[in-house]
Amino acid sequence: MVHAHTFDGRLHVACNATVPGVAAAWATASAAALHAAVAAVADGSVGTLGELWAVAAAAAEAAGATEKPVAC
Amino acid sequence: MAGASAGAGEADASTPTVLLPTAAAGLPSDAGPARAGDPPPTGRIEGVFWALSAPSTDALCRACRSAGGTVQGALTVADWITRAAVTRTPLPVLAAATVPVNCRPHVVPPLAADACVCGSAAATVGGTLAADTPVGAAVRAVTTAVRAAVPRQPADWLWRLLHAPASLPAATLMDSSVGVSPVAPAYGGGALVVGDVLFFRVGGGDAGGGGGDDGPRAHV
Repeated sequence: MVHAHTFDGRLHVACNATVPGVAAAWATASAAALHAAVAAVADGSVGTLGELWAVAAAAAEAAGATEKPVAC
Repeated sequence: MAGASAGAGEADASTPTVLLPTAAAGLPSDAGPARAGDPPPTGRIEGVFWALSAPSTDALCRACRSAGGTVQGALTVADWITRAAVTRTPLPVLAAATVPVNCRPHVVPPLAADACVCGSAAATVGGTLAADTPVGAAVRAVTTAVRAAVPRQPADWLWRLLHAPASLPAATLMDSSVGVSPVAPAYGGGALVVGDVLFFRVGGGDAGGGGGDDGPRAHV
């Protein structure tokens, strides 16, 4: 579940991810992965969805995604 | 998108929280696949928040426009890819999402340009994500799909929502306008967006999500 909106010239995103029963670590990792993916689209550093996948996966891993996954 | 109804707040400003009914918290797309016999989830939903810088936001807008798409399309694609990546699901995958739509053109009387009702209605879009698909093409495809879906959505319910009595539960919505909200008619005293929080005035009392208010709150 993702809420996104813009104000003050910035894109703000809220990931309501930590539903009961889901590890908070996954919420953080998913949010970090989404952040990295959106940033990559913004800066044009990725050309294909495969490359975008790799960016998101790396960010999730760096953020400690180690448990049952959940998308935010 | 979650309808936000909640009780007194206890969260600090850095970790906004929304208390949601069990049914809302149990959406399969967020909680993972439900298993037969599982009790419904209960408890508090907490959010994880981040923001792009202003230059990055501007760059994102320009990238989306140059691709013939929208920021919403980019977010949808990024969300799909993120879901695949964090689950280590290789591409291609078939993905779907329910996304908010801009209902301004579909509301009578028309809403001002600074009144945004994106999130007040939804369109369901989907597609196949292949590894070699250009990001821009995927963003454009989502945007095109949303635009195609909107005319099929009944918009009159939104009009009813905006003029509903204040006893109406907090709606599923997102409001990206600062200082102006189309839900004002529904809440009498008006609503005010401050930062990322939409403040309602319900039943004569202030209700907000940004501080220590005792009333109901809504995070948008």
